[in-house]
Amino acid sequence: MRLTILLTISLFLSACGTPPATYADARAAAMTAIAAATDRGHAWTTSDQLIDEADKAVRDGNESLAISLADEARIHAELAVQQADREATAWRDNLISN
Amino acid sequence: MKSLNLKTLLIVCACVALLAGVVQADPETERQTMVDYFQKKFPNVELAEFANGIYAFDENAREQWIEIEDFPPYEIAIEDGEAFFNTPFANGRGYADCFENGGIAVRQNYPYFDSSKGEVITLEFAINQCRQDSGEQPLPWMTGELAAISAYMSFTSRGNPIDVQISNDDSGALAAYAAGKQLYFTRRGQLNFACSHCHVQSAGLALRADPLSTTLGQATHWPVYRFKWGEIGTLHKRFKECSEQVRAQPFEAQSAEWRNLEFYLTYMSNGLEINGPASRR
Repeated sequence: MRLTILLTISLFLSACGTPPATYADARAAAMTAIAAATDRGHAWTTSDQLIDEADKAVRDGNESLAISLADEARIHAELAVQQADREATAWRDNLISN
Repeated sequence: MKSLNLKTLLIVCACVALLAGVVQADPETERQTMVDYFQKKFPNVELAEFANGIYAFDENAREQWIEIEDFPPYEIAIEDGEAFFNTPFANGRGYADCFENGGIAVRQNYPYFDSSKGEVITLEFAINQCRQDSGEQPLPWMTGELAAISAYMSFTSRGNPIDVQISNDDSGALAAYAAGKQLYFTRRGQLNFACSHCHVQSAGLALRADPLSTTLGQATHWPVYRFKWGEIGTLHKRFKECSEQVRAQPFEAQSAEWRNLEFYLTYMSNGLEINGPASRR
């Protein structure tokens, strides 16, 4: 019973996800998300700008800032994919009619 | 029971046909809807005047523009373009060999859908295709020599009404038109704007100090000398700028996406006269 509870808790925690431990992980996750947004033709310019800033931060030795910037780049790319999903049908709402 | 089934089937068919008509209207009906929309929005603007962009309805900007046209900043591009146009390729052929009527007064027929290739051909795309067919390197798409040649070809086409053809029997052309239309009305970028938000719903309103142009007439005057660019540039340079303004990653110049967009946009200006090249703020 105790083992089951421990396993459940550990599974729950792993499912919640933890922030990438290193800048390399954070950057890789961001680049994967950016590639997905680009494939949909919906990438935002902000993601690339944030990655540039993150690269600069890591060069300056500020890895925690670099990780947070890379995470932000990933979030922007994920939002761009959500936009692509939404607009697949929502674009029709903008059409004019007399 | 049998007759009831047939009746039901007929009703369903009628409903489907009606729905298809609503969802997939033909390009000419949609162009007329666009014309009607802007004529209602700007009741004092003559239809032909929409070819002049914001100068059709912004009196102060129009006065400055008319004065600028006394010594137009695109004049050098026309002269350079004529010289480039008439310079033969290494194989002895030239641009005139690639176009109908020797490339003179043909801009109004571009872009068109090439059914054999299954893609939209813009004038700039055709210019580079002409070069490559003669073994020449393609030119950069958005400025410089290509824009100058395009400017010269527009100049020889001035006064000719835009005549982009889309047959309702040509499924490829209809698909390209539909893709261009979808892109025009799709929200993109971090600012979550579609082209239509600025150039349909908000046309005539100001974005900071600049009035927003109307969809109608947006394709008549390219390439354009923009003072903020300090040079002449093609329509796809403007597409790139618009994309970046809403923080969307731009497509490549002359990508299929933007050629389809130009196809839609130019079709919306059918009947308006070519008045390029032009100057804009």
